[in-house]
Amino acid sequence: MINFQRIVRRREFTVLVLILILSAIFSFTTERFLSVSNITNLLLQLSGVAITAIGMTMVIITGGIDVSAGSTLGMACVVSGYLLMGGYSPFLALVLAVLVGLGIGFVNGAIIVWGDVPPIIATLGMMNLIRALMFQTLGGRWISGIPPACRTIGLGKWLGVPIPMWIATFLIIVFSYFLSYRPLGRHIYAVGNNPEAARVSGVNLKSTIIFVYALTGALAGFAGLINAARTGIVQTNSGMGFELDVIAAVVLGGTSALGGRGTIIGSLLGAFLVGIIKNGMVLLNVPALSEGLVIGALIIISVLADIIRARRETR
Amino acid sequence: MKKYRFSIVLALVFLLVFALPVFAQEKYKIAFVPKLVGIPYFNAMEEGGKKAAEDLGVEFIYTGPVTADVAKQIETIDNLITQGVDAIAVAPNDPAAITPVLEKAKEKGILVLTSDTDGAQEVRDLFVNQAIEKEIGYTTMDELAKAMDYEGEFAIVSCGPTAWNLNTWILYELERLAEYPDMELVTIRYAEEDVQLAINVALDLINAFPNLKGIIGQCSTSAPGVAEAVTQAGKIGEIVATGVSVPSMMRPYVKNGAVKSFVLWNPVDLGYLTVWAAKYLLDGNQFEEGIEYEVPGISTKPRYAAESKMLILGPPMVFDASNVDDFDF
Amino acid sequence: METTILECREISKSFGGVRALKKVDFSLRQGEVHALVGENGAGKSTLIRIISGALLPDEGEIWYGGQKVEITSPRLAQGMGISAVYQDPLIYPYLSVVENIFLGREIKTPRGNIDWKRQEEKAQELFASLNIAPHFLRQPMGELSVGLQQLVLIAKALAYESQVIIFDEPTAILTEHEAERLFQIIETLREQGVGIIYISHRLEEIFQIADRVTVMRDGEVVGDYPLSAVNREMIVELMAGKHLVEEIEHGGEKSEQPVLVVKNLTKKGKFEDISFEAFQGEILAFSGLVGSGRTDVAQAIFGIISPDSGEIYYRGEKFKVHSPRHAMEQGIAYLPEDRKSQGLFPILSVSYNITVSILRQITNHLGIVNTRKEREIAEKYVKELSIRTPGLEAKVFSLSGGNQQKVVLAKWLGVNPRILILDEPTRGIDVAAKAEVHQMIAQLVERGIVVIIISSELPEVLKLADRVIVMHEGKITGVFEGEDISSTNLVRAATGERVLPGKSD
Repeated sequence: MINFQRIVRRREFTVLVLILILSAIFSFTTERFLSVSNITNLLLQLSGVAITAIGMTMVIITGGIDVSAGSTLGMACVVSGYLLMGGYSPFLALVLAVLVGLGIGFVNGAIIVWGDVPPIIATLGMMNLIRALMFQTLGGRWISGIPPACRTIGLGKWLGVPIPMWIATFLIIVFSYFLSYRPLGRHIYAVGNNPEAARVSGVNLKSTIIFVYALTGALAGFAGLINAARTGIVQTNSGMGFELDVIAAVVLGGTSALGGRGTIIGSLLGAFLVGIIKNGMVLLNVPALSEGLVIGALIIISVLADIIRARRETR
Repeated sequence: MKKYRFSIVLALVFLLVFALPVFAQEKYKIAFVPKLVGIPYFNAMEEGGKKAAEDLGVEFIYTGPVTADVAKQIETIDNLITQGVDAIAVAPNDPAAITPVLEKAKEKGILVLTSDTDGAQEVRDLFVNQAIEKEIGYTTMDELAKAMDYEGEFAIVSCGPTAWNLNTWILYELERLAEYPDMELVTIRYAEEDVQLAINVALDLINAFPNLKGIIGQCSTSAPGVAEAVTQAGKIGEIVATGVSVPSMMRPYVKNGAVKSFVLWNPVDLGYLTVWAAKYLLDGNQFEEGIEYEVPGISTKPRYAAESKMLILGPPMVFDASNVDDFDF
Repeated sequence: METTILECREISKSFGGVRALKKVDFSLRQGEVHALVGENGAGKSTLIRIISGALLPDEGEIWYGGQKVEITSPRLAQGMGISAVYQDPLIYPYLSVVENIFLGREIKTPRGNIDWKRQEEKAQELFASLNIAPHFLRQPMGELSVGLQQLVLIAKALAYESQVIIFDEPTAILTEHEAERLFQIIETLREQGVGIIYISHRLEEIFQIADRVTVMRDGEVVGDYPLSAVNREMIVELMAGKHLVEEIEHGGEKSEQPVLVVKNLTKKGKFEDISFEAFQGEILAFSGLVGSGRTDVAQAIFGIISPDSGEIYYRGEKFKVHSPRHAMEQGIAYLPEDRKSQGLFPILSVSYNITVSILRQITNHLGIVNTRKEREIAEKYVKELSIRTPGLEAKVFSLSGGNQQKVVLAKWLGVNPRILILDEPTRGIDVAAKAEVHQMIAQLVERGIVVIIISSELPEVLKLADRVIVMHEGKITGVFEGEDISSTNLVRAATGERVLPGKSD
């Protein structure tokens, strides 16, 4: 029953093949690539992007975008940083970081739905607003010296794999299942492909849209806590530019920037691809500045492929 | 047609409104534009500048971009020009890009200084230098060499790839490297002014170069970043981190052994000296070669280098376990 | 004044196998107002789109000013002197009136700047020639009333020194006063020797201003007369024609009590004072022209539009709809007129499209969708409606129009509705698929579903309907049952004549 041709034609497959090819090249050229510490490291750096990409995938499937994810992560870093420094339980820090993210995401969704503001404008405003708020809260100081005991969620390992990656894997499975098997998850695709038809088909547009932004915020908040725990340092520009990494991963992973199409597992693969390229370039000691060149070109090619496909289909 | 005329009138009105304060001022207005606001290093400079402003009876404006972004810096300076300040001191993110707006300021009769990082020499009236680049570069290299026992591989994690002062320090570090034939630089990487990015970059480096013995964190955010990476990788004792940063950020890593020593000057003093020098020039004074100036409120005796129009705060300081607790910036 | 300025000879045009125009001849003289009438789909708009350069004919010739021409773009047509004023004016709302008139062909000074002064003077002249005092030249176009916007477009047509001006339903959006002014302007234009093609469904207007009338039906010209030679009855007869249709029999039995009762439903600007009843076991059809408010009434019942006043009773109880979802939960389904924009998710699969509305009904107690059941449902409808698709996972955009429509139908049958409203159920699908859909509709009635269809195609209405409600400009102008359902009656009511049941011929 498995239709190989269909699998081969999927973007996820292309990205997977690219990852495998690159991995092969890197492991032949540098023996360090396949070392335990390098892979651990790669997974650690990926986990924050992968967790937030779950929500971002859904946002982009609805045809929207959330550029405030980086600021949300930063704000969650600040909140959890203060709590961990203040000796509160890491669990409380987790709950509050997620709640802060959820709140920001909800406001994003509310502005988009009730204010009829285009997503990029609404979240751009929110991005600057939250960043300014972080600046106010920190007053230019850093949070550093978070006690190691509180940093297990970011630094710990279980069966040799970093805890953040376990968390990311768990969330990816849960939400992939959600997207395919829960009515709300399935409706997200309908909203992105044809909002008008979705409304006529009985989908609650507004609550669906608010849901995806709130979820993205909550996940960015979660990633913020992990980030703070992992690095032990929080500064005003924590998470700056993070949203771009997430969006790049989602778009590379085959989620259509035009909406209606995409999978979480694709975004994870997209995150892997970006991570492996960055990692491999360090290992090969390629001049640092050409990294942006490669990743930028990949993103443009992938969006172009998407648009060409859409053009073929609408004709 | 009407719209066009209206636009011109509106533009004139705006010009007038913003030009007014120029005629109405009393105290000197001295502005300092850091590379970015919100990091401890520039906060320390702000503190010194404020103190000087109080002591000297001038108005001190501290404003700048939230990221180390040259475009935003240009915007900030443009606004300061319209506000009509008397002196602008700036730590440029990109000396070449910022030159035109500094020229504009100069045409408006504003005193232009650079501080912390130099810009194009023709444009600025004075560069307030924390220490001669050469001394910083040499000292950093010497400290690294000492900590690495004068042999092995090392890497540099710098910040903005276009920052002139960082690049110059690196240049002198490489010059000094000739003294240590058993040491080898394997790569230079950039991490912007972002600690978390610096941690990631350094962790990658530790993996990529298994024989790595030392890492220099070239700026105040990357130095604690590489130290944290060494700590996280469990390489304390094998790999040593050093660099140019502030004591408050480096203290935990000096204590845990990831860092043996690091280099800096006193940024509070540098901020103080910047405002003091601006006032000194605005009052109509000239600096002279070779004199050691007595500046009340700072601990060193600055010197002036006439050839490069540069006021030097003093030699760089080395911080280690013995003195790192004595400073609160 | 008798010179022929524009002549179309044996123009034919097909769209994907459907002949929209069959050897159409049409001519226009200088200083003549030539009315073009016909039912929806008769070919009027295809003809004027060919004349104004928006479409190219498959066969036939166009002669303009005594020469054979090829009009390959609207811009070329304008340059030649053929302009069209459409029902919804195409304007730049934030630009001034003057800018709107001269956009794309600005008057320039020798140095190449825009010569605002000359442009204003020229605009003054243009409006003066229309007997209008233009006090609004510098206002943004969007601030003007629709009537004034139309005048600006006429002025723009004059700026191009147009010899032919096409008016497409110009009075549909105008007030009575504005329409009166428009007629005077048309009169002025006629005196200046401009040839005018005038399309309208309001037959009384045509008798007021036109010199000649061409009637079209099913892509052919069925008559070309001087207005003095015809009367209203004749035109209606020509438009309606003789439709040979075989009525479809269905075994549904009409219920005693109506399932749906609508009383005095009104939405300002869309429809007014709509009252009707719908019964189980009969097919109720809404006929009338596109834009007469039929779709709006359906959308009000389905919760897409909220009416200003009036009441809906459903199964004997007063019923207030909040949203499409609410209507669906109550057993009302609506198959939208425009399946591309409201009905389909083109890049998603056939199975997704069929089950999207019922996902909540096929979840287990944990709220997880039962995918086996989902596939069964999709399979069942693909078989039942004989949807031709390579598989359940095929993307809907790859199916033919008829099969796409069946997918939408399947979606609504899935929700098991009590009332099913089908808005233009066979638009744009081929003859064979059309017959299948009609057969299906008959089966639905037998199953006890209350079927309401909205259709602009007379043959479809004649074939299917047990009862027909005709709307014209937001009001009900006729209700017909049994023998009274005739094309003549339907066209009369659709063109605005109030036809009361029982009094028809």
